[in-house]
Amino acid sequence: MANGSKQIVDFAKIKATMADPYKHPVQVIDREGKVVDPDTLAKYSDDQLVDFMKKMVWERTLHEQTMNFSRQGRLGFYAPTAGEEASEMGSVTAFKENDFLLPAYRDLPQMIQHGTTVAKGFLWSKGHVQGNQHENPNMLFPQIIIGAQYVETAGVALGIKKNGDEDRVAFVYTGDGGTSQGDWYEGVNFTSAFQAPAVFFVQNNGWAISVPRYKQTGAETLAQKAVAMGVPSVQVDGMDIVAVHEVSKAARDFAAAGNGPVVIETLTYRYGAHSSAGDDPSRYRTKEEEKPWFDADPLIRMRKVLTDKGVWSQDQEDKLVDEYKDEFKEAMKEAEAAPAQKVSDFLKWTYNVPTPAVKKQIAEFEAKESK
Amino acid sequence: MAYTFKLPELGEGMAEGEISSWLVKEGDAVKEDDTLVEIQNDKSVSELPSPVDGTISKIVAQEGDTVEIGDPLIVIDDGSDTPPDLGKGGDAAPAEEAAPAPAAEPEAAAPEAPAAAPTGVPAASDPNKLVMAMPSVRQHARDKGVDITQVTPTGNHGQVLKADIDNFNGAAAPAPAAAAAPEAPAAAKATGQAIKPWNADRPELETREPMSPMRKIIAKSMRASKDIAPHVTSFDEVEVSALMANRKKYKQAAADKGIHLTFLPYIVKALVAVMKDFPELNASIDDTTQEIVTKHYYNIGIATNTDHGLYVPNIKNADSKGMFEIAKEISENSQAAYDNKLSPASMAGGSMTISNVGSIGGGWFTPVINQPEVAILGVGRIEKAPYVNEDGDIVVGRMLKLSMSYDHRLIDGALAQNILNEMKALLHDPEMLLMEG
Repeated sequence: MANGSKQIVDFAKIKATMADPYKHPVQVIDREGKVVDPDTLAKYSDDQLVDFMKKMVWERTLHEQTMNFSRQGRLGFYAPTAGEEASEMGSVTAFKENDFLLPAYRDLPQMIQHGTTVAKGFLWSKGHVQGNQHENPNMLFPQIIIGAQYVETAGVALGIKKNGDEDRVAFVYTGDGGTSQGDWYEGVNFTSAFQAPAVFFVQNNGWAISVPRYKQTGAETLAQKAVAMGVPSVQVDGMDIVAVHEVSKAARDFAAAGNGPVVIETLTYRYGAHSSAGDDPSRYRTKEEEKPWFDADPLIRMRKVLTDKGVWSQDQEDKLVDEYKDEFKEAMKEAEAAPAQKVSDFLKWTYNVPTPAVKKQIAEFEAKESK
Repeated sequence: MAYTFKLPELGEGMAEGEISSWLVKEGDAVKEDDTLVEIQNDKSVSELPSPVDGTISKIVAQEGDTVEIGDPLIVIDDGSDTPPDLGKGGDAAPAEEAAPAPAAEPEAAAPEAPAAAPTGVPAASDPNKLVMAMPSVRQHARDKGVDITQVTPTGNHGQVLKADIDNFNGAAAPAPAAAAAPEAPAAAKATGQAIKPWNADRPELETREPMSPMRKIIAKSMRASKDIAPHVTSFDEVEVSALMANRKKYKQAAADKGIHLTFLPYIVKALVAVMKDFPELNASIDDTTQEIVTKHYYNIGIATNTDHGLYVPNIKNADSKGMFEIAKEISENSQAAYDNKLSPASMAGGSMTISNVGSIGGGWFTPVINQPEVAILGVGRIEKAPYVNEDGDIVVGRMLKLSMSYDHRLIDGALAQNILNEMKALLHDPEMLLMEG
């Protein structure tokens, strides 16, 4: 580099401007409950907005009741969802029954919305095989391996395209931590290579268990990672259910029309622990960090919008909470009444037609189980 | 009539928790989801909500108690017909319970019995017993025609190891790993005593800190041992000038082989000879079957103190090893203990333990038996002291003090003295060791 002459390429500038397209996350209602995009909001009837609110109250109540069940020893693994109601309910409601959902372990609420029962959700948490048998067959059970559902999504999306299914997409969720996995890139890349119909959600809740988002990658946003695979992407305020729904619907339309996949990063926050396995958030993050997110609660801002419109009241909400609680308690009773599962049940579900070795094992276990 | 709420698993790898405080008292009416109790575990504090509506009829676990998963915490009268269930068990999640498992009954039926005394000849094979083992080990068991549910595991977390399959002889399984941490029997979980500040106005006169996990394990093991075995300790001393001379003579030869020759190998050797004459020393009592299990191997444990805790690795098959080999193994085990590299296998299957405080000093003491063994030999420092020799002259003797604690259920005082007499004879005249060893 002689004499400080101008370099052929300005990497510093490229680096500084890479995240420019993502400077303004999509937002309709801001954190104070102020409507910043009235034109978009006007597309929704009061009934639709009330329904959004009901779904978020439902999810928050489900979370609270599930935490209780968990501490009463009535559940197995559970990943708390408080804080992510707008991101989860806003997105799942943009999809049709025929769309194929590939959830991770924090996505039980979306699964229930997409067509399984609360009792099945509890059974899944208890490790019961019935928890994997959904009323709507268009979904898998939650993936536990971080990011692996992205690869599965590529397969489902390719299948939809190969079969020529009309107006159908695959949709999938992962957290911010999932975007650091090779599976994430492979899944998005393959789907893009085949221009198959999929919507990839990244629920950026700030934390991969105890690793903060900023330590996970050098990228300023997670959405911009999609650029490398030739996939359009967007960041959306994940605490704003109208914005999440609007963006999700647009993404679904785009993918279903044969334009290839979309990546959506929802900016949200995990209010509690990573999971019921027992991490204590106070050991890795501060109250100062949590406070602004608690203030940005998706329920608070929607409550304000609806109350201003005169279509929502605290009484109404309290009544709903009680109704939902009763519903979840009933569901728990139903789950607890499920017959104890046997090893032979699992073996029978391993293959459609059991191999000779599996057959032998089934016989062996059935003999033991009858003792 | 009652719902018994048992401690659920509140986190991965969480085995127990401490009751920090009860938010209800007996007689209180509670609603489902009302907070009952705060539990502290090594990860966090959790509030446990009530699973039912009802009236508190009995608080089973008190504040400050450490409770394990499945331990009953509280009985709530919920108007149901179920009787209170104060046994241990995972009733909290009925849907996850295994299919009928009759062999699991004894535990539930007799919760007060010290069933966990970890000596074990399994009574009957339970086909539904949860066995932990690697697939290769299971294959190995099938190849050998061994029913893996019958094998006593010695690995970490109750894993069956390949060696366990090889050691399994179909009848008396070897005693499981208990060296550093024998499980406390149910009865040992007495409600602990609370320590009140001596002067409440001046708390700075005392400090409080949590016990380390290792200290808790040691505390639990020691208390369990004293609960299981009625200890008696016999004291004696022996003049060991000849032994010292012998050691001095061979010390250099050992050093040439890179071996540090101490007095311990002599004591190990002597102990093996004595155990051969007194098989009662090399035994365990199986409480569940009321049987005496006599061991046909001589694995001599050496209590090893490190800055991170007390370990008891044992010299396997010490009867077939020479003095130098034993000396070498003692050094290696001790180094492994310091480096925190002892394998569970190296602490499993002990015959009897030697606790040597002589390197630090001291004389007689009352060592605690390393369960499920039945005796432990305490060794003090060799000190110069007046000694009346065989000719009736008072000379300067080299006196070694011996303290042997034994389980009086199996070993009576007279037998113990006979054992010590032979031990003394061997240590007094090391040439006898050559004959016996």
